[in-house]
Amino acid sequence: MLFQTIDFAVLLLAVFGALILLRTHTLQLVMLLLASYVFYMWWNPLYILLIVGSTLVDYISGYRMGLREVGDPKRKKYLWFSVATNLGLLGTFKYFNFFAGEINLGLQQLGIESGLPILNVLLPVGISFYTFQSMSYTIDVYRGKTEAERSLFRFATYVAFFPQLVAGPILRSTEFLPQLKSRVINLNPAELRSGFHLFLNGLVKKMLVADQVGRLVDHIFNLPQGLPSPIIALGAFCFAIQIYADFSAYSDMAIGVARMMGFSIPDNFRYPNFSRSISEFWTRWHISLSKWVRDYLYYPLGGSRKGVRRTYINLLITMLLMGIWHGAGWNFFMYGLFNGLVMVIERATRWRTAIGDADPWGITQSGWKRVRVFSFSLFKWLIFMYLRILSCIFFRVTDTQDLIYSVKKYVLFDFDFTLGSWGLAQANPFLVAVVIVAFSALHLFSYRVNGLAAWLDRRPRMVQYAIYFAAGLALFALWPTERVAYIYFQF
Amino acid sequence: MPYHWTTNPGIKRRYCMHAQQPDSSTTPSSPLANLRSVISVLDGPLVILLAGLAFLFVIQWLVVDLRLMPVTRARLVEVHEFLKQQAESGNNGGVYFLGSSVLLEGVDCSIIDPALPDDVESYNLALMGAGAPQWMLIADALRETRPELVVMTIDLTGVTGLQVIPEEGMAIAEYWDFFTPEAKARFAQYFTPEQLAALNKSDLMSLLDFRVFPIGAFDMYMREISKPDLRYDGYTTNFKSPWVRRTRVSDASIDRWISDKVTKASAQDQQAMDEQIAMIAELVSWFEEADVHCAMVVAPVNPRLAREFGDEETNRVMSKLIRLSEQTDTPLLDHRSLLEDSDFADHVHPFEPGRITWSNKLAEDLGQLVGGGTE
Repeated sequence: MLFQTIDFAVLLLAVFGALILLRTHTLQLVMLLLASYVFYMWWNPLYILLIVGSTLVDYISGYRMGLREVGDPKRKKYLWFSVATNLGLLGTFKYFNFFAGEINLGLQQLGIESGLPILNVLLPVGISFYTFQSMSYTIDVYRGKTEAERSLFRFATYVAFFPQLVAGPILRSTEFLPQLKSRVINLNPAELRSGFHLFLNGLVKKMLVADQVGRLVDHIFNLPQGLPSPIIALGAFCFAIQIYADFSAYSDMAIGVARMMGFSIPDNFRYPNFSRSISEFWTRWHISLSKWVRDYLYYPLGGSRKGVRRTYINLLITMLLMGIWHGAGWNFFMYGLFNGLVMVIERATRWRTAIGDADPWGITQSGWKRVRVFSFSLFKWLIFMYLRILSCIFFRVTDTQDLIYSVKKYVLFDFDFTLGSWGLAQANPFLVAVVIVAFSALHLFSYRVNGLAAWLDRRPRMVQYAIYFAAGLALFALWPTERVAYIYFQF
Repeated sequence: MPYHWTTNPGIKRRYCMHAQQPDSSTTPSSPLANLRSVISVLDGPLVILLAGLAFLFVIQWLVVDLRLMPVTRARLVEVHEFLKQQAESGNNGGVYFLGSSVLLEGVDCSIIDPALPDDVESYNLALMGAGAPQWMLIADALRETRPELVVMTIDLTGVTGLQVIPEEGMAIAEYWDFFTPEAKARFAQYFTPEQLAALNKSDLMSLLDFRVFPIGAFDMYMREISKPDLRYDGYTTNFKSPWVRRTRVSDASIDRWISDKVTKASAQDQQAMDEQIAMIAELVSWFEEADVHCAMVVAPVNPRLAREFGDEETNRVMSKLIRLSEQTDTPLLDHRSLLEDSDFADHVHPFEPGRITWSNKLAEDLGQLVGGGTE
């Protein structure tokens, strides 16, 4: 069920109707769980079994660990049971066919015809999100960082909470389970309006930016071979915008819907396009995943505490996993490796920048110092953008031959500016140009005011109405004729 | 083992940096109070709906009154209106070409006209991306003009795929009443349920489908003024030689397009082609019932594309077209090997010399078919 459909509007109305009428904590919890399962079953009813299975395994593992003191060796057994089940599900549904295909290819080249069977399964929507979310709970219980949850309903609602179920943010039990405990949800006008603003912000990003720009990206990367460098670079640049608008739109809408119901979900993005290094980018982009791999992989590997060489290896391993998390394909392997290598180089050359800098763009400075700070940041930003756009090619182009061609064309720029005869006209290039300029201006404004939706919350009612009206006109004019799913649903 | 629940005293209920503490009240407020909260924020969605309503009026003015739409869509409306005018003015007996962009760029009717009898004129009714399903949209109006001959130009490499009518095309057909009930009943079997639903929508819903037209028109206008060759000049209402391209695309681009075309053609299944053939047969029968004769022309194929397309595939398609021609007793003119590489502007569309050569060949053949030409 996509957020921008009538189906979802009906579900949301039903949920709010039920929240109004059901005035006990337990009934509200059961209703939220049912709504979440209906939301997921809209894609494929059978795959609800995976969520239910994963929920039961992690609930039982956590429960059994909760019966024992921290340090009891039996707790480890339950942890491994949970981790193996979750990774087994991921491995079977997401990675098995890829590895089987690659092994069979290798065997064929050796002259061996019989190989591993290919499973006839579809990738369940959002499987990487909910398995990581569920797994983080059992690891936290094992480590004694959170209490084991006693209520199965509460735990199941945490795993399947519908606004963020299929594309994050990946919730931590410490953040969300307390919100499900013993309170009746009372709908609050301020939270409802604030959530509505976030939802509208996400809707505009998805329908007016991501889906419009996406047509041009698809046109370029569905058949990149033969295209000159400027068009490959244009496609990669547009994809960088598309994926940000698409993914952050989903997060905004998820957070918005949750806020309307009185729940608090952490931010998943903090203006990643204003980063000045790849290292900084990963602290601003898909924050919930970055924190997950940091806490459950990078730190356990030793982080940066075991010497320089080990730190580099840990960084590479972490980023490789981050890449492969996105999907089973060599391009995602390369995506992770590329990001890892750049982060190692940034660390080795002390090029890293952090979001802790109070004034990275020199706004509070004056005179020559302001020019110097701004110029240096701009220089770093341009290098970051060049690398970020390159990494987007790894992300978008799945075919290996196309990927090699596209990367070669981007790096070894051919300055062939014959743009007219490549069929770009089929993807409304001038509309895309207008959309990108408008989005960039709004994005910059949002950065300056620290969030467009929050800024809108503080405006007088008449200004809010004017913006709703403008957004409504734009949505009616540009709403794409075909439904386009969110890019991160496939993960 | 006795039940005991361990609690780590070090655990803090942490929230993320930006998350606010949720309302921790355990006291339920009344359903009415909650309902009031929801009602108090309904003004937001209502203003957006109001914007939608205002937008419908704007769209009606821009699209229906001012015809601010992409030229490809505008041409569909103009072709239909032209045919209705022809029928109303009693201007019967013309030769009408149906086809896709290959016809659009490849045939100049002013070259053909002198070869036809004095009272017969030819018209190029090509529609961008059109195949048999799109021809059905204008078949009713075309039959009303009582033509001398309807010439269906078939792109050999395009007929293998199923032509899809975009939803907006069906919405145009609904809004401008392209179909009489008889024609709708006759052609309904060839439309998908979605297409039929679009055809049976109310005018108001069709207006919603037109919402993308002004933006599309803007994009096409920008393209027109940013390119040296004004390819859209007079395109929508020109039924003689609608599209004059003034530059050829690069060889590398042609290679890429050929690769794309062959990939798409090979991905099509047998059923898609059979459906197209059945639709052409239906159209021929529809015209013949009103004593209107038809002919089919296989359009010239770029030799580079023909090589990639392969003899086997070409023969397969040709054999089907020959069988169709025999079954419907319709002349089939085979012009596929008429032009050279240099006669094409890109992988499929004839360029200036190609247009002249093909038009002359059509003049020669149609002169014989229609009879009594002056040249």
